[in-house]
Amino acid sequence: MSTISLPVAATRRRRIRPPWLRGPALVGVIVLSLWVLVAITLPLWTPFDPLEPVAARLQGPSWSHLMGTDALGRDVFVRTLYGARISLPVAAIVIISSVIVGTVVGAAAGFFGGWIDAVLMRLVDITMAFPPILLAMAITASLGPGIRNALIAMALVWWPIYARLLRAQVIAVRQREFVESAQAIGAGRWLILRRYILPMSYTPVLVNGTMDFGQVVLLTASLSFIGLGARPPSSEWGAMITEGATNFYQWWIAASPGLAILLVVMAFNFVGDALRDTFDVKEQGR
Amino acid sequence: MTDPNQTSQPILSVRDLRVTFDTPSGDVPAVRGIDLDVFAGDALAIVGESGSGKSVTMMAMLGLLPTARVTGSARFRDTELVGLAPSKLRAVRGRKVAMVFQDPMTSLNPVLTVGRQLSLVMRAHQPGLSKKAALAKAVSLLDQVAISQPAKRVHAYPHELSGGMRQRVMIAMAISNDPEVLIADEPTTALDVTVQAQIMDLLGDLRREKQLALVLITHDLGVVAGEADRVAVMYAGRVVETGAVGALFANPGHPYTRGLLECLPRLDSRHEVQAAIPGVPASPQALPPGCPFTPRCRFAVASCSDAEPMLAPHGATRIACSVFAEPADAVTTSGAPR
Repeated sequence: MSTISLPVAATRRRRIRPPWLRGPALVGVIVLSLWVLVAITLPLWTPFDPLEPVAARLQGPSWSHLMGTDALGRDVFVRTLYGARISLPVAAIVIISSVIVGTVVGAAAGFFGGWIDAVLMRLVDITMAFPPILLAMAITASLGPGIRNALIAMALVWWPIYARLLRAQVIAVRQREFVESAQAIGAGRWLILRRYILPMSYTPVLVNGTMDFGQVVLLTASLSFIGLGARPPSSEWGAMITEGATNFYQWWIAASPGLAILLVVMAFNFVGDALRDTFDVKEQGR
Repeated sequence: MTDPNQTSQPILSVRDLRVTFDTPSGDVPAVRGIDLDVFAGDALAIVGESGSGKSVTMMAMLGLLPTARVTGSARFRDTELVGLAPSKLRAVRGRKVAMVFQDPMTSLNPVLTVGRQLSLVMRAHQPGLSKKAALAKAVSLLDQVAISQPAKRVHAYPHELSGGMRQRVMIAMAISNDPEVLIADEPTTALDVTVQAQIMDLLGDLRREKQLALVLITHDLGVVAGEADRVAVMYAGRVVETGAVGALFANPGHPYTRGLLECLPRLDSRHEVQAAIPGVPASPQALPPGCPFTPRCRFAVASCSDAEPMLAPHGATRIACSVFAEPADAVTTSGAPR
């Protein structure tokens, strides 16, 4: 009887390791956890100040300065680690605010339809018509360079993707039978949207948000690289690469933040891929 | 309860209800003027093929077809439902008139536990109800619909339950706010035969216990014979025959009803080929002139295509057929509006 089948299902559920803790995704999770840990605890154990000269200028990598020193004699390795304290929170704020705005807009458009949908989606179309980096550059340039303005620009550029994703999901879920049956027993619109439609719709947004984390880290660095984001003497990775570019033969100055970007972006992509495989809409049952 | 007409006022009264869908290929009249009465403790079965308008009638009445054009009247006690404001309609749905859908596999929210869903629905109608009280009520509701171990099952997700259990949950949800009318839209179609019988028994028990008015939408005449008091047979968006279930089965008047009854598989017959009504159901987009059943009717005469017949007495039932209706009251071809 069913009393037998229930405990079996329960134990089986516990034994399977979630896919984001297997293979490349596990590597991604570990790398990201380390970055976050480093970013948080950094000031407690680093021997050097990231903004102060600590040694001779343009020293190559050595045991006392793992990635050498830059043109002002600052420790490149420590500065790179400090870069995480800028890039990770910036990316998090951009993604989270974009997801929130995109969710509100997409849910409203998909759920209410009609002219609300038309107006909101044209707004999305207009924003998405520009390449993200170009639009972000234009907005940052008009607001004035700086990491805060770059953040605002990126959030403004990023939300439409989520609005469009969520709208498509909401429209699909809205027509499912359980929504109709909830309406038939008198559930209100707000209840249906919040409890019935959104939980079934946010998966693609979640997956894309995770994958986009890396993209935003990259975009932040790009904006800083061309001088629109973080300005010197900030240890933001893109700004550091700009400085490194002027000392071309001291490869470590640019390579160190470049490697950091590579690690973070790849880690996010690994995790995002695993999430997508887990929540693939096509594999979702009823 | 042979003739509830004389004993009480109907709870639900539908008059000349018409439902039209605007589609790119023109207007589609899905329901073309039907009258129905539902009484407390009474079970009305609406029978018909797919597309005959039986579900559409009920859904339009509850305002669940936002794109349809609905005219006519559907009264719940003293409340006119057609054209009622959405917020007021929402207060009627579930609280006064509840609906159970055909497919329990897809009718439950897959991401909420059964108990959460029941609680949400109850709290939507009774804002004062605490979460704890709602959950306790959910357990007792699951018990009422004969789900074993209700205290445990209340924490189950829909995918952990069988089809029959899910339909029981749907019924529990429908009765959670003590409605007066329960509309069951083909409640057993998606279930195994043995489970079908259990679900029908449950609906019958609830009806008697709570004096519910039950509207059974079905194409299963076996279900009708077992549970319904009265029957309305629909064809192409109209009621073609209506009457008490015994009279209708004993002496069907309309050729369509006769055809349906002949199609029932019988244990005592030796026919090798199952009887069927020839042809396909009339499409609401291209209705034949006059009586829409004419092209499939073996009793049809030339005058059948002249005008659509109104309901008229035939023995103990009323039929919309100019051939078989009793001539004294029948609206004959010559008398019908052209």
